[in-house]
Amino acid sequence: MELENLKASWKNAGSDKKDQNELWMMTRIKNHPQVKKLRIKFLIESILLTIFIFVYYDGFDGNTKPLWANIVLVFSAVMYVVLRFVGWVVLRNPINGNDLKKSLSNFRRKLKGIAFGVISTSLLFGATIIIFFVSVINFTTQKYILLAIMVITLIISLYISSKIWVKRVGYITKTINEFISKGN
Amino acid sequence: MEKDFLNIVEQYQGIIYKVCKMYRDSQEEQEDLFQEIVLQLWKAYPKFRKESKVSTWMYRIALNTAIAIFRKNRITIDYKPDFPREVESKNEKTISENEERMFEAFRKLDKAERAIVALYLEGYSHREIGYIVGITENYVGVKLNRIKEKLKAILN
Repeated sequence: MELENLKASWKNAGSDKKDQNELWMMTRIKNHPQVKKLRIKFLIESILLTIFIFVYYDGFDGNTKPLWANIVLVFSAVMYVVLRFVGWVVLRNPINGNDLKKSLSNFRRKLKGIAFGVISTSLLFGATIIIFFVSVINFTTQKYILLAIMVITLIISLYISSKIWVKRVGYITKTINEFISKGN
Repeated sequence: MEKDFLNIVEQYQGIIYKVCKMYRDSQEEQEDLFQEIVLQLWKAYPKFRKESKVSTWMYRIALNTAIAIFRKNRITIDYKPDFPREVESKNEKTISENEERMFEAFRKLDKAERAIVALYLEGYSHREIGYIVGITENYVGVKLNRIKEKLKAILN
């Protein structure tokens, strides 16, 4: 079958029409289950971190820790939320140029920046929490084991997070290359 | 503005339907993508200055969204009814089977090739396809020849 012969099938495809009311509903984020779910997840994370920033000082004896440990903890928590918000905005805006190739290239550039930001803020926040809790502690063998578990958990979560971002960037790179390559 | 937008999308929704069928396998994923494209069109509409054709603008946003929006890996169950639908006439059935076969073949192409085929079948010239995709007119010709060979092998 030739490509020319498909023109008629292509023209006739899509006879089921949605009415204006259905289309209007689709312009509202609250009617997008996937987007809504991701937004709620982001909001819960942000609220929990904000609560943490307000209660950690009393709840986790911030007054007994060095001032620098307190400042770095609050800074890293704020950066963690800000970078996730920026990441959310970037992921929700895939149109970044007048033509497809340019748009995808700009999108990939933004994704790389966000990937770097998200992973570094996760590392900073994770490391800061560990440093905050161990800054004025008398170490015993049990506490060393606990510290090792925390460090390993942080490394694993960073590894998983970076793999997800590498996959995302790789997927866009592959598609950009498909536009350039002469086919396979 | 909202009324104008809805009139346009209602009139040209076939474009969204075809892009969804090209880029997603299951009906559920196609519905999700349809919603996503309408939302992206709505977000882009205030900047649409009507310098290009409505269909060109819609294809640009729809293809871009289909390629760039990430989807979660899902296990999909391809449900096919055991019995023929009585309300569907033989003619309608042949049309939908042909349509399904066509989209199945397109989904075997890579993502860039799918975009070029969609624009070609919609009747755009090589120059216009090059403008929408971001490659030269000559290169569109090269790509289309490759795609034709590939499709011949898939469909025959």
